[in-house]
Amino acid sequence: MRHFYTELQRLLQREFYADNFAEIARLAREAAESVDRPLSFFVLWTIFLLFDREWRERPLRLEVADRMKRHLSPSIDRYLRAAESGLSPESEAEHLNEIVGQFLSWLQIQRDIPWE
Amino acid sequence: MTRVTRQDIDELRDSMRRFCFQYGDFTLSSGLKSKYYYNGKRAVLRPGVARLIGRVVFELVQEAGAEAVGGLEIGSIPIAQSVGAASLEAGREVPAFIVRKEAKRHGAREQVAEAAPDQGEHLLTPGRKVAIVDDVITTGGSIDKAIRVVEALGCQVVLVVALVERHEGGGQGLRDRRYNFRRLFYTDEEGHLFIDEALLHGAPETTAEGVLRR
Repeated sequence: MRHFYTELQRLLQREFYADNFAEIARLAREAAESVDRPLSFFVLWTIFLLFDREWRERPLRLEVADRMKRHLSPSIDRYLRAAESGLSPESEAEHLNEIVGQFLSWLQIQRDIPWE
Repeated sequence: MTRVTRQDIDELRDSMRRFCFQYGDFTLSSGLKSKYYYNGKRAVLRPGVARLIGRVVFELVQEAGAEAVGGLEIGSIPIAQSVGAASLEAGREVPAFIVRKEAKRHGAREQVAEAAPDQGEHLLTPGRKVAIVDDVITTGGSIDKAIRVVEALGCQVVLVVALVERHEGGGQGLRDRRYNFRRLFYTDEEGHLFIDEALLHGAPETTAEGVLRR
């Protein structure tokens, strides 16, 4: 299970683009299907699956990709680093609330980004 | 149906230039950086453009002897339908198929949506000659996915058509693998669009070894 955290951190360090979203989603799903407590990986799978669907058919300007990464990566990275060494259910829930909160606030930002 | 003329191709290029290009700094789905973004659907979904594309691609389909036309969702869908409409004008009926990006279940059959054939249960059967179409080729990944699925069903890919080959040159990989790859237009790094003159001068020559030569 430990390698899932490390591998997800590695993918998150890359730039944000559709194929990377798909790769993160694929790995998070694989992780979710491999562990007894799949909630965190399920959340990551869902988030990056939605990003892949949104941005694969939509022009992604460099500044938007950078902004998205700055908005979302820190909370996910903090969780992955903390989870590597084990988290209490309460602490895990706090991290996941932060990740989902950042995701939802990004959706607000994303809604105002013009398509063309 | 009248044959495609130089005027048709010029008109098509002008429409593509007008509707399909945005300029700036973009990250493509593969992670490659680009000074332009091409969205073929903005032109292909216009009925007048679709009719022209259908006529142009149908000529290639007919020349290659393809019996069905399709490709990976979403880009291929309006093109395949346009080819089907053009085939009717020419007194034939070339049915379409769609390759899904994600399989609903395991197996190549579940990864396709196909028109009902004249006979039998499936359109995509072993030995069926098919054309793969897409609105763009960049690295070739999307077209490769479609080829793998139809070949897994035993079909013979006799033609691969991209409306636009981006400057990354994904078409060369297909030519290297001996696929009959054709393009209508190509771009340079700045996103200028050019007509592939070979389109107007017939199919590429084939050497005795079966190697396509331009």
